[in-house]
Amino acid sequence: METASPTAILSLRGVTKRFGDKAAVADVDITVMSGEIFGFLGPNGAGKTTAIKLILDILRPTRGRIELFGLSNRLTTVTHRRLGYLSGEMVLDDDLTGRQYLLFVASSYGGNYDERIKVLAGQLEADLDVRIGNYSRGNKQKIGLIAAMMHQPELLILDEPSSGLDPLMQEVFIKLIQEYRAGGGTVFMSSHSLAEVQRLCDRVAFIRAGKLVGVAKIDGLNQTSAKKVVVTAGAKQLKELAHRASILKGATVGETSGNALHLTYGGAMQPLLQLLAKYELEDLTIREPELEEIFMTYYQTDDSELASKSSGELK
Amino acid sequence: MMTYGLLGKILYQKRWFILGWILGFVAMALFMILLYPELKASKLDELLSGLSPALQKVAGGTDTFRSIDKYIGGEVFALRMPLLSIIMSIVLFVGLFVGDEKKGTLLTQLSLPLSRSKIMLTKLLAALIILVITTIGMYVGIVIALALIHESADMMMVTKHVVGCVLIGLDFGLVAFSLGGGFGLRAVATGVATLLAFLSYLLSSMVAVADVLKPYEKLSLFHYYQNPSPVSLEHIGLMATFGLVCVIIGLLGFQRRDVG
Repeated sequence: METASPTAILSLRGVTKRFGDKAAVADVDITVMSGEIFGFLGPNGAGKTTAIKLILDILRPTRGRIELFGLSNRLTTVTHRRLGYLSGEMVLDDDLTGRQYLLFVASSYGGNYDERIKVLAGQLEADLDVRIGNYSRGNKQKIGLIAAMMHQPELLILDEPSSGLDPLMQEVFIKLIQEYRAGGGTVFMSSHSLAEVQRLCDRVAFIRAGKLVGVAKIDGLNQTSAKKVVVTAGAKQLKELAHRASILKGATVGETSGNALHLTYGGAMQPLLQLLAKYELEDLTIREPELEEIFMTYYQTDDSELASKSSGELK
Repeated sequence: MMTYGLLGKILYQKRWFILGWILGFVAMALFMILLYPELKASKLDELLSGLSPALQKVAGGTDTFRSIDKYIGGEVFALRMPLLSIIMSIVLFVGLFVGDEKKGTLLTQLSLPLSRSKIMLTKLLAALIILVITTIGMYVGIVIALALIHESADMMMVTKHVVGCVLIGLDFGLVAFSLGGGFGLRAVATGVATLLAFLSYLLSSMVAVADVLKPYEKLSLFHYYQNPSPVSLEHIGLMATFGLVCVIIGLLGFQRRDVG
């Protein structure tokens, strides 16, 4: 059977948003295709939430064009009927019960979603007859998630959606999103958690200081997520260690600053530990790379280049 | 078409507000009218007739206490009821338009398939319904109080007073709406609307004693509310037009601006 070719569900073209002199989002170009889970990554204050508010027509762009389902995103009555939105900082009506709030949302979508609400509430273990003001943050998120998914939207826009969910519920959330995508849905999801993005997303865009650093497939990203190793030892030992580490598979020796040697290491742990065990170390740090470091490594870009780098998608 | 869901939600959320203000209006009407026999007996009208015409006007006129109809117009609906109506209206409009945005619930509403104009117009309709419902309190209080003091009043006249009272409250509430909802001027919406109401009343009340204010009296909404009293059809039209202008300004502003 011939499958339909994917279409652009969401597109941002040259989108810029200025608040006074400051560009919260600058010249962002993104296209999200149908059926994919697209991650939108960046540190706090990078412009992720601003971009999502622009998509939802809550903020108006200074420049550029945004389309949802091939239509201007200003046509909210039409476009918002086909999407669901959840924010980690979503504010719901505290004086309504979960059920009352969901019935209000259902009426705005113009349908009867009682059955679907029941199914989702069961999966998320949500008690709908409690006043929203008395919910914990995690339970409010559950209500928000049910509200976003009850009408089986074509596009889900999620802004740090698993914020406030306990680990068990995070797993339920991930499973729900995977099922949703398997059913043909598309997801545009912002996060600052690489782990979450790595599990769910097909492609990822990284934004920093309002500018798009790049867009990459998640497979490519995983290959570059080498660990950061910092070894502190005497100068003579460090010199020898740097030489021997350079021939380890998956190791890239970085700078030596003072009595600290910096390595990037993507190989198996055992050979590295065996090598380090031969030396008298003063200190050893092994950490996961920051998101930005992954993207910088992927694009082999440093800070000075970022300032002039234009956004682009890796094919 | 208005979204029933949003309208119903707002009215449900404001149920205690509505009840509270109905009781407030009932209490004010009861209190004022139950005082009438005492004030009539004290011969205040004779005392006032000894004052200058300007001061008589400030005090509400010499015949205010001679009949229940004039008392209702000159005392109940001259300042106290419209003042309550204005306070309620400003609080209501600021809460619906500015409060929702400040809390963050407006952002949530905007993520739903509800256009900006639908949201604003539905909230305006809700505010109007609430204003009308709460005026029941004025009627109920007046009817009960008249029965208690064994008096009867011209209820058509009372109706006209109530309409005028609702309108003047609505107008100042809509000033808050146009500033807060239309332009996101959250901090100033309450202050400016309240200040305008205060200055408007001050201007109208002082014009009788200060001729220098006469050229400006038509700038005051209270001028149209009180002259004549109860408010005439022509002035109802003018006050309604003022309100409509505020609505249009607010709607246009909200359509264009960033939210949140």
